Amino acid sequence: MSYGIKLRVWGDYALFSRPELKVERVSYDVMTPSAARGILEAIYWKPAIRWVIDRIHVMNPIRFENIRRNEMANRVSVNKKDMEGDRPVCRYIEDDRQQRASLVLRNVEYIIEAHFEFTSDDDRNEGKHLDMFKRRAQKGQCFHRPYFGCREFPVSFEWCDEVPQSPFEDERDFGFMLHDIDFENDRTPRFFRAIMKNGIIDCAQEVVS
Amino acid sequence: MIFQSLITLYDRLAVENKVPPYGFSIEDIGFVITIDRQGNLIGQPEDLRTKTGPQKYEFRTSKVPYTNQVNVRANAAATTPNFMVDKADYIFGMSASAKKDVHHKSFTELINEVCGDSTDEGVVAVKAFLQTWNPRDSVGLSVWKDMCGLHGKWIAFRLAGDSCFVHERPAVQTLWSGFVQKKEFSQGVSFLDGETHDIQPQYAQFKFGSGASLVSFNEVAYESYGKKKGENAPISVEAEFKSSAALKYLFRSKTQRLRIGDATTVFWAERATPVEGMFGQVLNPSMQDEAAAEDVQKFLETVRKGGMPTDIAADGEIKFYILGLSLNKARLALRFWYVCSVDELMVRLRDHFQCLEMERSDKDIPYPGIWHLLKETARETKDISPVLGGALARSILTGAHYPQNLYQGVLGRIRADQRINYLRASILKAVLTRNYNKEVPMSWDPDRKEIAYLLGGLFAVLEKVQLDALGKVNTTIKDRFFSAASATPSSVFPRLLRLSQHHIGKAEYGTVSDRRIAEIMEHVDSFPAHMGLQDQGLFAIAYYQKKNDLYRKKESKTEGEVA
Repeated sequence: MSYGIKLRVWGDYALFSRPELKVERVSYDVMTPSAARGILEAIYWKPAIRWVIDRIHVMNPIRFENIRRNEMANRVSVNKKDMEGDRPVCRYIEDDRQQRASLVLRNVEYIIEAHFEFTSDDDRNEGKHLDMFKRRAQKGQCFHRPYFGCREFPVSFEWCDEVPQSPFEDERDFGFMLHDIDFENDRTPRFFRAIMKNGIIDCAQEVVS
Repeated sequence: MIFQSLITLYDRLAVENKVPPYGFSIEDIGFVITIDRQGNLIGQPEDLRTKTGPQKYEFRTSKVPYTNQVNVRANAAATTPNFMVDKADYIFGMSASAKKDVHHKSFTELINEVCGDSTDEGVVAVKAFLQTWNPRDSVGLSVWKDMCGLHGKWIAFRLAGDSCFVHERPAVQTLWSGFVQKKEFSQGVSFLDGETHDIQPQYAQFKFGSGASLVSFNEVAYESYGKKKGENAPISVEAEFKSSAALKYLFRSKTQRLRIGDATTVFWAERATPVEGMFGQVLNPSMQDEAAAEDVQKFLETVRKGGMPTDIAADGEIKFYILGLSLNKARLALRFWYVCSVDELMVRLRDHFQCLEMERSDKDIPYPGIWHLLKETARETKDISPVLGGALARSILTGAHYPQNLYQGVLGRIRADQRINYLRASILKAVLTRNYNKEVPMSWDPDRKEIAYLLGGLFAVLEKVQLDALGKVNTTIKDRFFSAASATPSSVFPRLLRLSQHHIGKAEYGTVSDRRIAEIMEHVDSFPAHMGLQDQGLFAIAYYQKKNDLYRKKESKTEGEVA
């Protein structure tokens, strides 16, 4: 299959929350495949295709930093009553403030290697999708601003032809990491054993859900 | 990986019998009441606490039947009792002067449910007691106020003639173990090992001031994809219990726990190693324990020389885990999480103490702890920035730059009270060395030609001249001019030099001082109008070192006369 793409992404901050520590958020050491998928989908996605992350190259040393942010404790949930205009759909931060601590990553850079698969028999023109993605990535176009785990941490991206050498030269085991959410199966989380060899994480490793 | 390593720690401790088995927890017992076999109270409740300070107690600890639901009885508190041990309201049905029927009833019901028709003497007696006790009588108990007070903790039963508590009786423990085994959980994949297990919906809480949870989803905004509570982070019942029990053990530990600022730091190693017990003393040496301090001293002496203490040398490859936690809104927030090998840790400590190394008198502590350093940044301990402690600890452990606040804090204190002591000079030196790659000597170096360094030395000489001439004075030029001299030398030094001529004329050994001034002035072309923060630090260090230098010379010259 030659639908593969490579994308270099970098940013000042990143926060890929661990599910067990997601209230006082703590980031995984590296980007999760689902976060990478989110970045690609922000740049180009059509219902006909599904992005699959193959490998993530970690290009910068892993550094953590503490920050605290003011957030809300509730979500805006819209039900039928709200839709009928009975009450305004809004939340006021003054009534609902929560200060949350986060342990975020600092100064990250990754190279995402991915390919796409078709979801149906419609629109199966791989060349078209591939070129559109490439063109959009090269121009810096995106449907919405891609981000590293939280909207506050935007992603800079560029098309990448050659993957440079990663500074890591060892093997590290990050334990079980969120792979993606299985949306067809009651949105069950799926995990995989994230092992980084020489700075490369193979995301196609055995996934459990 | 935090949970995995905690589980490993639990398994290790379980072998040594230091952590309780599933369904139990080590908790503080404040009081015990003795009952006879008919359930009658014998004598008065016994106070098991020892007072260690105002509002501070040490408690008797005991292996207590425990479930998660009880430890987090925030909402339906009254109907989630403990088994056999609990607070006064559950046992006596009374709290202060208010009746607590629901508490008492739920407590009784749980005992009936767990014990069924057990014929164990302890169970029978407790049941009888609960049935016959009149809550109104509680107020007449001798220590009633303390029992319901803030530091009352839990109350246990004891059967007359028994040496252990009722909940420690083997029969009762068996009943309880059977009960917790029967509990049913939903199945799911645990994120720790990727296998299907019973999933614990509720993570344990820790005594951290009030109860605090490390893993909790207590507001809707924290939930994802329609998952509730523990489903958000599926963790198996066994893993949850083991990791929380290990964490509880660390929080109780005296040697493996540190409190710096608002953060609590716990640490442990993959396998047992002496570093585990030593590390806390290194970062936070306590003055009381001199024997331990001596051990640590020797240990650090070896480390500083670049060697490995013999009892640790073999453990170099062992992984060392450091976990910093602080309380944020009744939840535990992770401040830092750091894993390294013992070897790496030794290197970090060596680097840190090398950065700090500075000549000192015998009274000064050779290896200051984090707390010693922090104290130099604020006037009172309560003013110390809580964030700084964590940041400093992290920079020591990771070898990263020291926090800039540390440097500014110390400079600010010097400006305010004009005291430049060993610790302050060391901190300034450490920050300049690590953050700015500056080479700063340990003691006065006459060959250094940086203007800030020279001026710092010059200032020390000028002060000496004044003291020589006038004897003891209340305010020296240091008290008047130190901050101005270090920040804006050109506005102060010409004036000070002029003044010094008068002093030289008056003093007995004036010519010596004159020569000292000349030695330094030889390399000073002009006085800068302004010095930046880096230079101000260097100035203070030079002042400290030159002053030591002057005093030492004086002592050797006039030996015998001084004192």
